Amino acid sequence: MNRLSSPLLLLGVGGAGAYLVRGILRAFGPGIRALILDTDSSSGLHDDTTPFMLLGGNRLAGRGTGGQPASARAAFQDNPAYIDPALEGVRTVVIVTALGGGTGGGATGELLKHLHTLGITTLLFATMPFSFEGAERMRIARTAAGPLEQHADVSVFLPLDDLVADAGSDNIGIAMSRGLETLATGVTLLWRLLEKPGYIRLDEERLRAILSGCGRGHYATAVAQGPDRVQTILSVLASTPLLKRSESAPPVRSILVGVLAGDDLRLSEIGMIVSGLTASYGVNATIELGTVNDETLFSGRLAVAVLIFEESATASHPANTAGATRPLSGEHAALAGNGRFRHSEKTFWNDEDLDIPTYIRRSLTLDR
Amino acid sequence: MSLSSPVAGLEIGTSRTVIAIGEPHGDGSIEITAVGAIPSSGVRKSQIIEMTQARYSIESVLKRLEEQFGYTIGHASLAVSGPQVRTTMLNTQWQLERGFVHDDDIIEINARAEETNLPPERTQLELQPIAYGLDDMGAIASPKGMNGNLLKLRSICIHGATQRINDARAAANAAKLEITQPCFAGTCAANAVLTQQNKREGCLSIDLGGGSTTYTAWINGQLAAAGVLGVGGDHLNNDIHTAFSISIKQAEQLKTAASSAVISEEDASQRVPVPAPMPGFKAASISRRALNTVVNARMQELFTIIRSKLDEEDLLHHLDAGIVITGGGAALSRVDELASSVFGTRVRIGTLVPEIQGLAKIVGDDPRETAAYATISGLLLKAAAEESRPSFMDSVTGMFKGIFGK
Repeated sequence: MNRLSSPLLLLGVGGAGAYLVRGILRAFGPGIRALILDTDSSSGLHDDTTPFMLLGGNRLAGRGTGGQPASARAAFQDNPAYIDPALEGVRTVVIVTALGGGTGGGATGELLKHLHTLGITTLLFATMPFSFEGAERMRIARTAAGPLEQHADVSVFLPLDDLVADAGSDNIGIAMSRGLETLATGVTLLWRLLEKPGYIRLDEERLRAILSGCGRGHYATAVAQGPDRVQTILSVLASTPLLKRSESAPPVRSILVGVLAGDDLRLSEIGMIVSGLTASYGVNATIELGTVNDETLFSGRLAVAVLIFEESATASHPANTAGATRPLSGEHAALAGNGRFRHSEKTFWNDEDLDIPTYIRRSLTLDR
Repeated sequence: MSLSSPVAGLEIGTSRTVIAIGEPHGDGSIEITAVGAIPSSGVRKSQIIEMTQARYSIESVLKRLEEQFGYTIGHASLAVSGPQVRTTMLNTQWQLERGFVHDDDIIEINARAEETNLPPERTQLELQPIAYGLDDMGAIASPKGMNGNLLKLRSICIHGATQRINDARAAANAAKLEITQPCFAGTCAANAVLTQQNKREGCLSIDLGGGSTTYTAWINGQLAAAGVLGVGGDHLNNDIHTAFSISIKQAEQLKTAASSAVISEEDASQRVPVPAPMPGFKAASISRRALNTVVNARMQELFTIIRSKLDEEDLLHHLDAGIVITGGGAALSRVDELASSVFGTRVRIGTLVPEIQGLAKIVGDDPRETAAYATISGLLLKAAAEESRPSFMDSVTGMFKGIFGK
C-alpha cells in the first residue's frame, strides 16, 4: 500500500504538531501518510515533503493565533470540510499536538468533532507543557484537554516532564531528542505493527475495534539488551510515571503491546512480557500483541512499547457489576456497533440501530 | 441424462462466494454437478464494499471450479440479497370488453403488470401474481369465465438497487463472468426447500445469511410477502467479538462450535474454552450462559421482527405448513427451537426438494450443510426453468455454446 492511499493518517496540529510529525517521519522513514495542519504558514516552509494545509487563511492570514485557542477554533469552524480532500480513504487518524498554545488547543477539538462525523476513528497524542513553562500555560493546556477527551476515541496526554524524566543530566537538546524519540516510537508503533514484517501482525480492522469505545490511553516504551532484558523492561515500565494511573481511574480495557526485536527474539520472552503486563493490569484486560522483526535497528536489543486503554469513564454502568461485563449505551454502544458496519448502510427497526449488539441495546448483563 | 446445456449461478455472500453448476434434466429437475465456494472478502450486509476483493473472490472460485471439476464458465445467474432489496405491491386493472373473463384478458392484465415501470435506480428481480379481483370481489385464484366488468390483479414486485446490482455485475465481469439475470435470493432459497404442497398449505421460508436475512411467505401456492433484513451471521460474530473482546475469527469459531440460540439451565455452570489467539497467550474461557445470552438476544430479536412484519399483513395464521430455515445460520444449534417459540408454530431445517439432486455428493449429506446451499441450489433451478421456456430459449440459442468446456 503506498503512503497516499493508506487508511491510517498521521496528522500534526499546530507548530508543535508539525515538529512532532517531522520527527516521527525521520524516525520511521518513508511509508507514513502524514499531514500538517497549522494556522502559521511558516510550518509549511521548513519541509516540502510533508503535505501542509494552512488553517484559517482568510481569518488569520497565515500569521498564527498568537497563542489564542479561540482564534484557532474559529478558524477551523469557518470551513470544517476544508480538510476533507486530504482524508480520502482514511479510516483512522493519529493526531499529534501540543497543548498550552493556540492552534493545538483550539483547533484539535473541532478537528476531532469533524472526524467523528465522518466516521473516522481517532487516536490523540497530546503533550502537556513542562512545569517550568508556568502555571498559566498549564491551565490553558488542562482547559483544552477536557473537550479533546470527549471527542477522541482514545486520548493519550503526555506530560513533557514525564517524557524526559530519565534525562536529568542530559543537556536540554539531548533530553528533548530523547523525549521525541520516545513519543515517535509510540506513534509509529501502529504503523510498524500494521506494515512492517513481524511474526505477529495487527490488522487495521482489529486496531479500529481496539480504539473504538475506549477512553483515556497511557503510553510508555522501554528498551534493553542482555540476558535479563525482559526483566529490565518490565521494571522500567512498572516505574515510569507515564503509566501511573490514579486510584479512581476506570479499569484497563485493553493493552496494545508492540515488541520490536532482532532475529534473536525468543517465544519465552513474549510470554514473560505478556504475563508481566497481565499481572500489572488485571486478567480482564485484553492484550493485543504484535511483533516487529528488524534486525537492522534492533540487533541484540529488545524494545517494548505499551499503549494502555482504559474503559471510557462516561460509559453508563449498572449499579451491580461485580463479576459481569458492563453493557455500553449511547455513544459507546454506537461505537461498538459501528466498528464492523461503519461503512455499510445502517439497519434500523423501530428507531433502533440493529448494527449495535442486541445485548447492549437491551442492557443485558453477562456473566464473567 | 442431461437434455439441456448446463446452467451456472453466482452468489456473492458476506461469508462466502459460491458458484454452482447444474445440468437440467428437462423435466424441471436439475443435477448439481459442481460447487465452488471460498470465504468472501469485501462484502458487508450482502453488498460489495470493495470491488477488487470481490473480484478476486469470484476469480478464485472460477479457478477452483476449473481445477476441481473441469468447468470453464462464461455466464451465470446472480442471486441478489441485502437490505437494498425492497418489495412493492402492484395493483393493475383491465376493463373487460366481453362482460366475462377470457384467457386473453388474463394474458393482457399480466402483461400490463409486467410493464410497470420502476424508476431507473431500481431493477426488477421478481414479479409474481398474488390474487385476482373482479369488480367488488377479491381473492380470486382463477377468474377465467367469471362475469364482470373490471378485472384486477394484485402482484408483488421485488426489486433491488440498480447500482448495487451493477456493482456485482462489474465484479463478475472483471473476473470474466457475465451475469445473465439477477434473481431474488429469498425466492431462490424458498424454491429449493419448499414443495408446491408446502406453498399451498402456507409456509414461511427464512434464509439466515451471513450479511442479511431474507424471508418469503407463501399462501395458497403464491408468494404473499417477502423481505430482507440487513442482519445476519456477521452481526452475531460482531456481537460475540464485542462482548468478549476476542477477534472476529475467534467469535465466528465460538458461534459455530459452542453457542446455542436457546439458553439452558445448565449453561450457568459451564465454561467455554477460548483458544489462545497467538503464541505467548494463555488460553481463556468464557461463561457459556454469557455466550448464549448474546446469541439468543440477537436471534430472538431477528425472528420477532420477521414475525411482526408478517403480523402487519395478517399472514401469521396462514402458515399451516410451518416455517423452514435455510442459510448458514441454520447450523446454529437449536435455532429451530427458538424460532418455534417465537412464531408459535413448527419449524424445520430446510432439505432440498426432490427436483434438486447431486448436491449431497459434493458437499456431504449433513442437512445443516445442504441448507447453507439452498439459495444457490434454487438459483440453478430457476436458471434451468428460464432456459427451458421457449421464448427464452429462442433468444438465447447458442448462448451457452462454447461456454462450458467440460
